[in-house]
Amino acid sequence: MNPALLSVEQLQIDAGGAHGAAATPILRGVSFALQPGETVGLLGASGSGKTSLALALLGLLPLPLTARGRVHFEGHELLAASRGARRALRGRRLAMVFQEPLSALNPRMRVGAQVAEMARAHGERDARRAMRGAVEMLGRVGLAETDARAQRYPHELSGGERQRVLLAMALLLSPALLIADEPTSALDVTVQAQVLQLLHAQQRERGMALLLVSHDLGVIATSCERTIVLHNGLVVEDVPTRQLLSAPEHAQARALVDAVRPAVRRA
Amino acid sequence: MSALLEVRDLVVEYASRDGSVRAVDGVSLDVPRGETLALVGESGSGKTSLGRAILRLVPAASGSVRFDGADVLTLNGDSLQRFRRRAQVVFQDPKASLDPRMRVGDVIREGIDIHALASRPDANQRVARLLAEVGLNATDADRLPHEFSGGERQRIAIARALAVEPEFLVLDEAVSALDVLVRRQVLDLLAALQAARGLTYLFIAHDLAVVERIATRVAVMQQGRIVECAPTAALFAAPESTAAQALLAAIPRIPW
Repeated sequence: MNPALLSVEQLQIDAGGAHGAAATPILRGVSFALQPGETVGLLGASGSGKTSLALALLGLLPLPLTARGRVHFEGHELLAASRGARRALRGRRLAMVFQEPLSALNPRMRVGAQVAEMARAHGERDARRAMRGAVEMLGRVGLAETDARAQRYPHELSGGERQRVLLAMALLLSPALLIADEPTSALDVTVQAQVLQLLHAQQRERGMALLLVSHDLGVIATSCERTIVLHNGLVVEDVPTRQLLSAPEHAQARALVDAVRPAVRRA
Repeated sequence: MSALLEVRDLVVEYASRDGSVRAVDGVSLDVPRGETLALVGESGSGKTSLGRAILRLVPAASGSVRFDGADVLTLNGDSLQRFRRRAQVVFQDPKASLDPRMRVGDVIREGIDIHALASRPDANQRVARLLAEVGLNATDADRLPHEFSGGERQRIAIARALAVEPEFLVLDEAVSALDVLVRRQVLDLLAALQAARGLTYLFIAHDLAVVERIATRVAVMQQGRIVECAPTAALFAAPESTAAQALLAAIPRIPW
C-alpha cells in the first residue's frame, strides 16, 4: 500500500482548560488516513466535532481550542510544525473551502485580485501573471466572461458564484488535498447540485484527495468512496459509503442514514 | 366547503432604481383547512414575498387574499389584530427572530398578553404547557435564547407562534438552517402539532426533499408565478414543469 497522504493519529481537541478550569473535550482521540486521490466524507450532526477536526488539520483552530496527537501530511508533522511551515503548505498543498463564501471573501477586494493573491502569497512575483492565472482559473470553475467577472466585488456575485470563487482560490495551486467544510449548506439545492458537480469534476481531473465535511449524507454519498462518521468526538464508523448506506452499524450512523432516506423509493 | 385560505391573482411589487420589480406576479392558490401546501422554488422566485403578502407583512399591489371568507387585504384596526392572532409565522433563523435579551417565557407570553388571552397566572401555565408541547422543559422559560441549540430555538419560535392559538402557520424555511437529524425532529413535531390542533400550514422551502413527508400538495414557484401545483406524490412521480423537474433533479441521488 502507498504511504498515506494524510494520517491522523489519536487527535484530541479540547476547549478551554486554562487557569485550572476543566477542559471540555471536542475530539476524544480520532484516527484515520487518506490515500492520494481518495474521496472521503466526514459525516456528523451539529456538535459532533467535524468542523473542529477540519480546522485542526489546517492549523486554524481558534482559541480556546487546542489540539494534541499526530497529523502527518506529505512528510510533515502538522501539529508540531511552525506557523511559517504550516502557512507554506496551506493553500499550496492543503487547501480549503468553507461554508459561507461571503465571510470567507474580502468585501473590499475584487474577486480576481483575491484569487491572484493566493499565487502571490506563495511566491509569484509577477502581478500580471498572477492575475492571468486567476482569470483562467475563474473560467475553469464556470465563471464565464471572466475578465469582467474578475473585476467584480463579492457582493455583486450570487452565493453560488462566490462559492466558485473560493473553489478557484483553493484549486489554483493544485493542492494534493482539498478540505471542503459544508461547501454547499448555504446554497439553494439547485445551486448546490451545480457546485458539487464542479467539485467532483475538478477532483477527478486533478486526482486530488478530497475530505468533504457535512451533516448531510446526500452531499457525501454522491461523491465519496468512503465515509467516516463522527459522533461525540469519536469515529463511530469508517467504511465504504455503499456499506454505510446498506448496513450502518452504529445507532448515530443509522440515524444520519435514515434522515436522508426518501419517503418513497424514487426512480 | 371553501378553503381556509384563498389567494387570487396576487401581485407584489417592490420599488427599484429603474421602476419596480414584480416579486409575485399574479398568484392564485387555495389551502384547505388542516392541509399543508408546500411552496417550493429557487432563491428569488417570490415564495417569501408571497408568504409575507398573505400575512399582510408586505403590501400587495393587487389581487385578493381571503382567510376564512374575510378579505385580508382590507382588514384594519381590530379586525387586522384578530387576523394576526389566527395567522402566525415561523422564520428560518431563530437566532434572528428571537430577541436575545428576552427570556424564553416572556417571548412566548408576549402574544398572549398583546391579545389579552389569559390572566398572568394562567398565561404562565400556558407557557409551561407550550414548552412541554414542543419538547422543552417548563424551567426553560427563565433562560435566554443563546442558551439553546438551533433546533431548540426553532422549537421556541414554534411555541411562540402557537401561544395565540392560531389556525394557520406560514413556515418560511423553518427547518432549512437545521442539520438533517434536527430537521427530521422538527418536521415530526410540526406534523404532530398539526394533527393535534388541526393546523393549516403554508410551508415555504427551496428543497423539495424537505417537503416530501409533510406536504399535502406542492406548488412550484418560478419568477413570481406558480408554474405547477400538484398532490405531493404526483409531483414527485411525474413533475410536468421544467422548474419542478430541476428541483427534483437537484435532490442528491444517493446510490442506495
